[in-house]
Amino acid sequence: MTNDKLGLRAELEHVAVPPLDMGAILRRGNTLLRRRRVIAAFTSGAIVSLVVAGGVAVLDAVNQPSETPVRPAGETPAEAPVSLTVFLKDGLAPQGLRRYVEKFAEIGGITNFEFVSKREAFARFKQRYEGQPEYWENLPQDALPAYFILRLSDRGDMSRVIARLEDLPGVDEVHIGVESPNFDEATADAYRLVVQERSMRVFAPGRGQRYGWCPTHAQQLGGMDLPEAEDAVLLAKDEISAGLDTGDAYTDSVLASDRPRPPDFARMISKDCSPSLVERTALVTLHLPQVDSASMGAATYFVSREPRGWVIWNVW
Amino acid sequence: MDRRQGNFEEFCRTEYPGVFKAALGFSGDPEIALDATQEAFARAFTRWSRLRRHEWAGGWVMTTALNLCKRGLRQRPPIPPPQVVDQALPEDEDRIDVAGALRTLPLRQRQAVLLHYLADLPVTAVAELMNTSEGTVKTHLSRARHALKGKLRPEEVGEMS
Repeated sequence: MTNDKLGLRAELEHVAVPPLDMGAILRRGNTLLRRRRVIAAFTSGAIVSLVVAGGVAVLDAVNQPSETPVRPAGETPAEAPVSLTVFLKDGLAPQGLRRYVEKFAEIGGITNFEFVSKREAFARFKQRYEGQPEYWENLPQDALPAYFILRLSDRGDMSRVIARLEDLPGVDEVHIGVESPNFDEATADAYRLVVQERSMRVFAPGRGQRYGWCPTHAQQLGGMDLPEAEDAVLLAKDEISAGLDTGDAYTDSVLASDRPRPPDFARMISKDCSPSLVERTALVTLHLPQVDSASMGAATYFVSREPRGWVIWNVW
Repeated sequence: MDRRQGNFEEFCRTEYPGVFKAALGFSGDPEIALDATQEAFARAFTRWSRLRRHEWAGGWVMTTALNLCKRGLRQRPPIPPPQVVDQALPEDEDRIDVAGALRTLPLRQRQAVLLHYLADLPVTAVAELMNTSEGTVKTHLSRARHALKGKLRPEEVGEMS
Protein backbone atom coordinates (compact mmCIF):
# COMPACT_ATOMS: atom_id res chain seq x y z
CA MET A 1 0.00 0.00 0.00
CA THR A 2 1.53 3.32 -1.03
CA ASN A 3 0.47 6.96 -0.88
CA ASP A 4 0.64 7.24 -4.66
CA LYS A 5 -3.02 7.85 -5.36
CA LEU A 6 -2.13 10.33 -8.09
CA GLY A 7 -0.44 7.71 -10.24
CA LEU A 8 2.77 9.75 -10.24
CA ARG A 9 5.01 6.70 -10.27
CA ALA A 10 3.26 5.22 -13.26
CA GLU A 11 3.41 8.61 -14.94
CA LEU A 12 7.14 8.96 -14.37
CA GLU A 13 8.01 5.30 -14.81
CA HIS A 14 9.00 5.67 -18.45
CA VAL A 15 11.07 8.80 -18.03
CA ALA A 16 14.61 8.26 -19.28
CA VAL A 17 16.97 8.64 -16.33
CA PRO A 18 20.52 9.75 -17.21
CA PRO A 19 23.19 7.32 -15.99
CA LEU A 20 24.38 7.84 -12.44
CA ASP A 21 27.74 9.64 -12.56
CA MET A 22 29.13 8.48 -9.24
CA GLY A 23 32.56 9.98 -9.98
CA ALA A 24 31.10 13.46 -10.45
CA ILE A 25 29.08 13.20 -7.24
CA LEU A 26 32.09 12.09 -5.21
CA ARG A 27 34.36 14.74 -6.74
CA ARG A 28 31.83 17.45 -5.95
CA GLY A 29 31.21 16.01 -2.49
CA ASN A 30 34.91 16.03 -1.71
CA THR A 31 35.24 19.59 -2.96
CA LEU A 32 32.40 20.66 -0.68
CA LEU A 33 33.98 18.87 2.27
CA ARG A 34 37.36 20.44 1.67
CA ARG A 35 35.91 23.89 1.24
CA ARG A 36 33.93 23.59 4.43
CA ARG A 37 37.07 22.71 6.34
CA VAL A 38 39.11 25.46 4.74
CA ILE A 39 36.44 28.01 5.54
CA ALA A 40 36.25 26.74 9.10
CA ALA A 41 40.01 26.96 9.40
CA PHE A 42 40.06 30.38 7.83
CA THR A 43 37.21 31.98 9.68
CA SER A 44 38.06 30.62 13.10
CA GLY A 45 41.77 31.24 12.93
CA ALA A 46 43.56 34.53 13.11
CA ILE A 47 44.09 36.17 9.76
CA VAL A 48 47.73 35.97 8.98
CA SER A 49 49.94 38.81 7.99
CA LEU A 50 50.74 39.53 4.43
CA VAL A 51 52.61 36.70 2.78
CA VAL A 52 53.18 36.24 -0.89
CA ALA A 53 53.61 32.56 -1.44
CA GLY A 54 54.18 30.46 -4.50
CA GLY A 55 57.02 32.48 -5.99
CA VAL A 56 54.82 34.99 -7.71
CA ALA A 57 57.19 37.90 -7.69
CA VAL A 58 54.87 40.09 -9.70
CA LEU A 59 52.54 40.29 -6.74
CA ASP A 60 55.05 42.51 -5.00
CA ALA A 61 54.64 45.13 -7.64
CA VAL A 62 51.01 45.68 -6.75
CA ASN A 63 51.10 44.91 -3.05
CA GLN A 64 51.26 47.73 -0.62
CA PRO A 65 51.85 47.33 3.07
CA SER A 66 48.78 47.78 5.21
CA GLU A 67 48.64 51.20 6.81
CA THR A 68 45.16 50.90 8.17
CA PRO A 69 44.96 52.62 11.53
CA VAL A 70 43.15 50.97 14.40
CA ARG A 71 40.00 52.90 15.12
CA PRO A 72 38.66 53.63 18.54
CA ALA A 73 35.74 51.40 19.48
CA GLY A 74 32.40 52.94 18.64
CA GLU A 75 33.59 54.98 15.72
CA THR A 76 31.55 54.22 12.63
CA PRO A 77 33.88 52.30 10.36
CA ALA A 78 32.00 52.87 7.10
CA GLU A 79 35.31 52.87 5.28
CA ALA A 80 36.95 50.31 7.58
CA PRO A 81 39.04 47.63 5.90
CA VAL A 82 37.43 44.39 5.02
CA SER A 83 38.91 41.11 3.87
CA LEU A 84 37.62 38.83 1.19
CA THR A 85 38.64 35.27 0.50
CA VAL A 86 38.60 34.34 -3.15
CA PHE A 87 38.64 30.58 -3.67
CA LEU A 88 40.05 29.45 -6.99
CA LYS A 89 39.16 26.48 -9.10
CA ASP A 90 41.82 23.83 -9.52
CA GLY A 91 44.25 23.83 -12.41
CA LEU A 92 45.44 27.41 -12.27
CA ALA A 93 48.63 27.99 -14.25
CA PRO A 94 51.29 30.45 -12.97
CA GLN A 95 50.51 32.85 -15.81
CA GLY A 96 46.92 32.79 -14.57
CA LEU A 97 48.11 34.30 -11.30
CA ARG A 98 49.67 37.19 -13.19
CA ARG A 99 46.35 37.85 -14.83
CA TYR A 100 44.67 38.01 -11.43
CA VAL A 101 47.18 40.56 -10.27
CA GLU A 102 46.46 42.69 -13.32
CA LYS A 103 42.75 42.31 -12.75
CA PHE A 104 43.02 43.31 -9.09
CA ALA A 105 44.76 46.50 -10.15
CA GLU A 106 42.10 47.08 -12.78
CA ILE A 107 39.23 46.50 -10.34
CA GLY A 108 40.71 48.96 -7.84
CA GLY A 109 39.98 49.36 -4.15
CA ILE A 110 42.22 46.43 -3.22
CA THR A 111 44.99 47.70 -0.97
CA ASN A 112 46.86 44.46 -0.59
CA PHE A 113 46.44 40.78 -1.01
CA GLU A 114 47.90 37.45 -0.20
CA PHE A 115 47.99 34.41 -2.41
CA VAL A 116 47.74 31.10 -0.60
CA SER A 117 48.75 28.20 -2.79
CA LYS A 118 47.18 24.77 -2.49
CA ARG A 119 50.25 23.55 -0.62
CA GLU A 120 50.21 26.49 1.75
CA ALA A 121 46.46 26.07 2.27
CA PHE A 122 47.09 22.50 3.28
CA ALA A 123 49.89 23.49 5.67
CA ARG A 124 47.66 26.04 7.38
CA PHE A 125 44.80 23.61 7.53
CA LYS A 126 47.05 21.03 9.13
CA GLN A 127 48.31 23.57 11.62
CA ARG A 128 44.79 24.69 12.45
CA TYR A 129 43.68 21.11 13.08
CA GLU A 130 46.89 19.91 14.64
CA GLY A 131 44.97 18.03 17.33
CA GLN A 132 42.55 16.40 14.88
CA PRO A 133 44.74 14.47 12.46
CA GLU A 134 41.74 12.55 11.14
CA TYR A 135 40.84 15.73 9.21
CA TRP A 136 44.04 15.82 7.21
CA GLU A 137 46.10 12.62 7.51
CA ASN A 138 44.44 10.98 4.51
CA LEU A 139 44.24 14.10 2.42
CA PRO A 140 46.70 14.61 -0.44
CA GLN A 141 48.72 17.80 -0.09
CA ASP A 142 46.96 19.38 -3.04
CA ALA A 143 43.48 18.59 -1.75
CA LEU A 144 42.53 22.12 -0.74
CA PRO A 145 41.79 24.94 -3.13
CA ALA A 146 44.19 27.83 -3.58
CA TYR A 147 42.83 31.22 -2.58
CA PHE A 148 43.54 34.88 -2.34
CA ILE A 149 42.91 36.95 0.75
CA LEU A 150 42.21 40.49 -0.36
CA ARG A 151 42.01 43.54 1.79
CA LEU A 152 39.79 46.37 0.62
CA SER A 153 40.32 49.94 1.67
CA ASP A 154 36.65 50.81 1.73
CA ARG A 155 33.82 48.68 3.00
CA GLY A 156 31.42 50.73 0.90
CA ASP A 157 33.11 49.41 -2.21
CA MET A 158 32.69 45.77 -1.28
CA SER A 159 29.64 44.87 -3.37
CA ARG A 160 31.21 46.24 -6.52
CA VAL A 161 34.51 44.46 -5.90
CA ILE A 162 32.80 41.14 -5.13
CA ALA A 163 30.70 41.35 -8.29
CA ARG A 164 33.83 41.97 -10.36
CA LEU A 165 35.77 39.18 -8.64
CA GLU A 166 32.98 36.68 -9.18
CA ASP A 167 33.11 37.37 -12.89
CA LEU A 168 36.82 36.53 -13.16
CA PRO A 169 37.50 33.21 -14.87
CA GLY A 170 38.79 30.55 -12.50
CA VAL A 171 37.16 32.07 -9.42
CA ASP A 172 35.07 29.51 -7.61
CA GLU A 173 33.58 31.48 -4.72
CA VAL A 174 34.10 34.74 -2.89
CA HIS A 175 33.57 34.84 0.85
CA ILE A 176 33.44 37.86 3.06
CA GLY A 177 35.91 37.74 5.91
CA VAL A 178 35.80 40.77 8.18
CA GLU A 179 38.87 41.44 10.24
CA SER A 180 38.25 44.90 11.55
CA PRO A 181 37.88 44.84 15.32
CA ASN A 182 35.60 47.85 14.98
CA PHE A 183 33.00 46.09 12.95
CA ASP A 184 29.67 45.99 14.73
CA GLU A 185 30.05 42.46 15.95
CA ALA A 186 26.70 42.38 17.72
CA THR A 187 25.00 43.07 14.42
CA ALA A 188 27.14 40.59 12.61
CA ASP A 189 26.26 37.88 15.10
CA ALA A 190 22.58 38.73 15.21
CA TYR A 191 22.08 38.41 11.50
CA ARG A 192 23.17 35.38 9.63
CA LEU A 193 23.57 35.01 5.93
CA VAL A 194 20.36 33.35 4.80
CA VAL A 195 20.68 33.84 1.05
CA GLN A 196 23.82 33.91 -0.97
CA GLU A 197 23.32 34.02 -4.68
CA ARG A 198 25.43 35.42 -7.41
CA SER A 199 24.44 39.04 -6.98
CA MET A 200 22.41 38.95 -3.79
CA ARG A 201 23.32 38.43 -0.17
CA VAL A 202 20.60 38.65 2.42
CA PHE A 203 21.12 38.68 6.17
CA ALA A 204 18.37 38.09 8.71
CA PRO A 205 18.07 36.79 12.26
CA GLY A 206 18.16 33.03 12.56
CA ARG A 207 14.97 31.29 13.59
CA GLY A 208 14.22 32.00 17.21
CA GLN A 209 16.62 34.94 17.27
CA ARG A 210 15.29 38.40 17.80
CA TYR A 211 15.08 41.30 15.41
CA GLY A 212 16.02 44.82 16.23
CA TRP A 213 19.78 45.16 15.89
CA CYS A 214 20.41 48.33 13.98
CA PRO A 215 22.18 48.01 10.64
CA THR A 216 24.80 50.61 11.43
CA HIS A 217 26.28 50.63 7.94
CA ALA A 218 23.01 51.06 6.08
CA GLN A 219 23.25 53.04 2.88
CA GLN A 220 20.93 55.65 1.45
CA LEU A 221 18.06 54.14 -0.54
CA GLY A 222 16.11 55.49 -3.48
CA GLY A 223 12.98 54.34 -5.26
CA MET A 224 15.11 52.41 -7.76
CA ASP A 225 16.36 50.21 -4.92
CA LEU A 226 12.92 48.96 -3.96
CA PRO A 227 12.65 46.07 -6.45
CA GLU A 228 15.95 44.74 -5.12
CA ALA A 229 14.75 45.09 -1.52
CA GLU A 230 11.64 43.12 -2.47
CA ASP A 231 13.78 40.45 -4.11
CA ALA A 232 15.80 40.17 -0.90
CA VAL A 233 12.64 39.52 1.12
CA LEU A 234 11.24 37.08 -1.42
CA LEU A 235 14.49 35.12 -1.50
CA ALA A 236 14.60 34.95 2.28
CA LYS A 237 10.87 34.37 2.76
CA ASP A 238 11.20 30.80 3.98
CA GLU A 239 13.77 31.87 6.56
CA ILE A 240 11.83 34.81 7.94
CA SER A 241 8.30 33.43 7.91
CA ALA A 242 8.60 31.08 10.87
CA GLY A 243 7.36 28.00 9.07
CA LEU A 244 4.29 29.67 7.52
CA ASP A 245 3.24 28.60 4.05
CA THR A 246 5.07 30.95 1.69
CA GLY A 247 3.60 29.50 -1.49
CA ASP A 248 2.52 32.21 -3.98
CA ALA A 249 4.07 34.90 -1.77
CA TYR A 250 4.31 38.37 -3.24
CA THR A 251 5.59 41.73 -2.03
CA ASP A 252 5.06 45.45 -2.21
CA SER A 253 7.28 48.13 -0.81
CA VAL A 254 7.72 51.78 0.07
CA LEU A 255 10.64 53.81 1.29
CA ALA A 256 10.34 54.38 5.01
CA SER A 257 11.05 58.07 4.47
CA ASP A 258 8.11 58.38 2.06
CA ARG A 259 5.59 56.73 4.29
CA PRO A 260 3.31 58.76 6.52
CA ARG A 261 4.55 57.57 9.86
CA PRO A 262 2.34 56.86 12.79
CA PRO A 263 4.08 57.50 16.13
CA ASP A 264 4.67 53.83 16.90
CA PHE A 265 6.54 53.40 13.65
CA ALA A 266 8.84 56.33 14.33
CA ARG A 267 9.41 55.06 17.83
CA MET A 268 10.08 51.54 16.63
CA ILE A 269 12.62 52.57 14.06
CA SER A 270 14.44 55.02 16.27
CA LYS A 271 14.12 53.36 19.66
CA ASP A 272 17.59 51.89 19.63
CA CYS A 273 18.82 53.09 16.26
CA SER A 274 19.76 56.38 14.76
CA PRO A 275 16.66 58.32 13.57
CA SER A 276 18.44 58.83 10.27
CA LEU A 277 17.88 55.12 9.61
CA VAL A 278 14.41 56.12 8.42
CA GLU A 279 16.08 57.48 5.30
CA ARG A 280 17.94 54.24 4.79
CA THR A 281 15.18 51.71 5.26
CA ALA A 282 12.67 50.17 2.88
CA LEU A 283 9.42 48.74 4.21
CA VAL A 284 8.70 45.56 2.31
CA THR A 285 5.37 43.88 2.94
CA LEU A 286 5.36 40.15 2.33
CA HIS A 287 1.90 38.79 1.56
CA LEU A 288 1.27 35.10 2.15
CA PRO A 289 -1.98 34.24 0.36
CA GLN A 290 -1.82 30.62 1.47
CA VAL A 291 -2.04 31.64 5.12
CA ASP A 292 -5.66 32.00 6.18
CA SER A 293 -5.02 34.03 9.32
CA ALA A 294 -5.45 37.75 8.67
CA SER A 295 -2.86 38.71 11.24
CA MET A 296 -0.27 36.24 9.95
CA GLY A 297 -1.03 36.59 6.23
CA ALA A 298 1.18 39.66 5.80
CA ALA A 299 4.13 41.19 7.56
CA THR A 300 6.15 44.31 6.89
CA TYR A 301 9.90 43.96 7.13
CA PHE A 302 12.46 46.69 7.65
CA VAL A 303 15.11 46.22 5.01
CA SER A 304 18.35 48.10 4.59
CA ARG A 305 21.32 47.71 2.33
CA GLU A 306 24.75 47.42 3.86
CA PRO A 307 27.96 46.95 1.92
CA ARG A 308 27.88 43.24 2.74
CA GLY A 309 24.33 42.81 1.40
CA TRP A 310 20.69 43.36 2.31
CA VAL A 311 19.76 43.15 5.98
CA ILE A 312 16.22 42.33 7.11
CA TRP A 313 16.41 43.83 10.54
CA ASN A 314 12.95 44.26 11.95
CA VAL A 315 9.36 43.22 11.40
CA TRP A 316 6.18 45.17 11.93
CA MET B 1 36.83 2.07 -1.90
CA ASP B 2 36.28 2.56 1.80
CA ARG B 3 33.22 1.39 3.68
CA ARG B 4 31.72 4.85 3.96
CA GLN B 5 31.93 5.33 0.23
CA GLY B 6 30.63 1.84 -0.45
CA ASN B 7 27.47 2.39 1.59
CA PHE B 8 26.99 5.76 0.00
CA GLU B 9 27.25 4.36 -3.51
CA GLU B 10 24.64 1.78 -2.72
CA PHE B 11 22.39 4.50 -1.36
CA CYS B 12 22.90 6.55 -4.54
CA ARG B 13 22.11 3.64 -6.82
CA THR B 14 18.87 2.99 -4.94
CA GLU B 15 17.67 6.56 -4.61
CA TYR B 16 19.01 8.25 -7.73
CA PRO B 17 16.26 7.35 -10.23
CA GLY B 18 13.48 8.44 -7.88
CA VAL B 19 15.19 11.69 -6.99
CA PHE B 20 15.88 12.52 -10.63
CA LYS B 21 12.28 11.76 -11.63
CA ALA B 22 10.95 13.91 -8.80
CA ALA B 23 13.27 16.75 -9.82
CA LEU B 24 12.14 16.43 -13.42
CA GLY B 25 8.49 16.26 -12.44
CA PHE B 26 9.04 19.33 -10.29
CA SER B 27 11.00 21.45 -12.74
CA GLY B 28 10.02 20.08 -16.14
CA ASP B 29 13.59 20.82 -17.22
CA PRO B 30 16.01 17.88 -17.57
CA GLU B 31 19.09 20.07 -17.21
CA ILE B 32 17.92 21.67 -13.98
CA ALA B 33 16.76 18.26 -12.73
CA LEU B 34 20.11 16.59 -13.39
CA ASP B 35 22.18 19.41 -11.88
CA ALA B 36 19.96 19.51 -8.80
CA THR B 37 20.07 15.73 -8.38
CA GLN B 38 23.86 15.54 -8.64
CA GLU B 39 24.34 18.45 -6.25
CA ALA B 40 21.88 16.98 -3.75
CA PHE B 41 23.76 13.68 -3.66
CA ALA B 42 27.09 15.50 -3.35
CA ARG B 43 25.71 17.37 -0.33
CA ALA B 44 24.44 14.10 1.07
CA PHE B 45 27.98 12.75 0.79
CA THR B 46 29.35 15.57 2.94
CA ARG B 47 27.04 14.61 5.81
CA TRP B 48 26.76 10.92 5.13
CA SER B 49 27.94 9.84 8.57
CA ARG B 50 24.85 11.48 10.08
CA LEU B 51 22.47 11.09 7.17
CA ARG B 52 22.94 7.34 6.89
CA ARG B 53 21.17 6.98 10.21
CA HIS B 54 18.36 9.27 9.18
CA GLU B 55 15.06 7.49 8.77
CA TRP B 56 14.25 9.45 5.63
CA ALA B 57 17.67 9.88 4.08
CA GLY B 58 16.21 9.45 0.58
CA GLY B 59 13.57 12.05 1.38
CA TRP B 60 16.30 14.42 2.59
CA VAL B 61 18.11 14.13 -0.74
CA MET B 62 14.86 14.58 -2.65
CA THR B 63 13.95 17.67 -0.63
CA THR B 64 17.41 19.12 -1.22
CA ALA B 65 17.13 18.40 -4.95
CA LEU B 66 13.72 20.05 -5.15
CA ASN B 67 15.00 23.12 -3.28
CA LEU B 68 17.89 23.30 -5.74
CA CYS B 69 15.38 23.00 -8.60
CA LYS B 70 13.58 26.05 -7.21
CA ARG B 71 16.80 27.99 -7.40
CA GLY B 72 17.43 26.67 -10.92
CA LEU B 73 13.96 27.76 -12.01
CA ARG B 74 14.50 31.22 -10.53
CA GLN B 75 17.76 31.65 -12.40
CA ARG B 76 16.42 30.31 -15.68
CA PRO B 77 15.17 32.84 -18.21
CA PRO B 78 11.36 32.92 -18.20
CA ILE B 79 10.45 30.52 -20.97
CA PRO B 80 7.46 28.23 -21.21
CA PRO B 81 8.27 24.93 -19.43
CA PRO B 82 9.16 22.22 -21.95
CA GLN B 83 6.89 19.20 -21.89
CA VAL B 84 9.78 16.86 -21.30
CA VAL B 85 7.90 14.27 -19.36
CA ASP B 86 5.25 14.09 -22.04
CA GLN B 87 7.82 13.57 -24.77
CA ALA B 88 9.55 10.89 -22.81
CA LEU B 89 6.38 8.89 -22.48
CA PRO B 90 4.78 6.72 -25.14
CA GLU B 91 1.89 8.17 -27.11
CA ASP B 92 -1.36 7.36 -25.38
CA GLU B 93 -4.40 9.54 -25.79
CA ASP B 94 -5.99 8.20 -22.63
CA ARG B 95 -2.95 8.87 -20.51
CA ILE B 96 -3.41 11.49 -17.83
CA ASP B 97 -0.71 14.14 -17.76
CA VAL B 98 -0.33 14.15 -14.00
CA ALA B 99 3.20 15.52 -14.19
CA GLY B 100 2.11 18.36 -16.47
CA ALA B 101 -0.77 19.20 -14.15
CA LEU B 102 1.60 19.00 -11.20
CA ARG B 103 3.76 21.76 -12.64
CA THR B 104 0.81 24.15 -12.58
CA LEU B 105 0.85 24.00 -8.77
CA PRO B 106 2.73 26.47 -6.55
CA LEU B 107 6.22 25.23 -5.72
CA ARG B 108 5.59 24.31 -2.08
CA GLN B 109 2.47 22.33 -2.96
CA ARG B 110 4.37 20.59 -5.73
CA GLN B 111 7.14 19.70 -3.32
CA ALA B 112 4.71 18.30 -0.75
CA VAL B 113 2.92 16.26 -3.41
CA LEU B 114 6.16 14.71 -4.70
CA LEU B 115 7.46 13.89 -1.25
CA HIS B 116 4.20 12.37 -0.08
CA TYR B 117 2.81 10.69 -3.19
CA LEU B 118 5.95 9.86 -5.14
CA ALA B 119 8.52 9.29 -2.40
CA ASP B 120 5.83 7.69 -0.28
CA LEU B 121 6.80 9.60 2.84
CA PRO B 122 4.31 10.04 5.67
CA VAL B 123 3.02 13.54 6.37
CA THR B 124 5.19 13.69 9.51
CA ALA B 125 8.33 13.14 7.45
CA VAL B 126 7.28 15.63 4.78
CA ALA B 127 6.68 18.23 7.48
CA GLU B 128 10.08 17.60 9.01
CA LEU B 129 11.87 17.71 5.68
CA MET B 130 10.06 20.83 4.53
CA ASN B 131 10.66 22.42 7.91
CA THR B 132 7.02 23.11 8.47
CA SER B 133 4.07 21.73 10.45
CA GLU B 134 2.01 18.66 9.63
CA GLY B 135 -1.05 20.89 9.36
CA THR B 136 0.63 22.98 6.69
CA VAL B 137 1.61 19.88 4.74
CA LYS B 138 -1.95 18.59 4.92
CA THR B 139 -3.15 21.98 3.68
CA HIS B 140 -0.67 21.80 0.78
CA LEU B 141 -1.84 18.33 -0.14
CA SER B 142 -5.49 19.21 0.15
CA ARG B 143 -5.10 22.34 -1.97
CA ALA B 144 -3.03 20.42 -4.51
CA ARG B 145 -5.72 17.75 -4.82
CA HIS B 146 -8.34 20.44 -5.18
CA ALA B 147 -6.33 22.23 -7.87
CA LEU B 148 -5.69 19.00 -9.75
CA LYS B 149 -9.35 18.03 -9.66
CA GLY B 150 -10.27 19.73 -12.89
CA LYS B 151 -7.25 18.34 -14.66
CA LEU B 152 -7.62 14.63 -13.96
CA ARG B 153 -10.17 11.96 -14.79
CA PRO B 154 -13.17 11.76 -12.47
CA GLU B 155 -12.20 8.27 -11.24
CA GLU B 156 -8.75 9.55 -10.30
CA VAL B 157 -10.24 12.44 -8.36
CA GLY B 158 -12.38 9.97 -6.48
CA GLU B 159 -9.33 7.89 -5.57
CA MET B 160 -7.43 10.95 -4.40
CA SER B 161 -10.07 12.20 -2.03
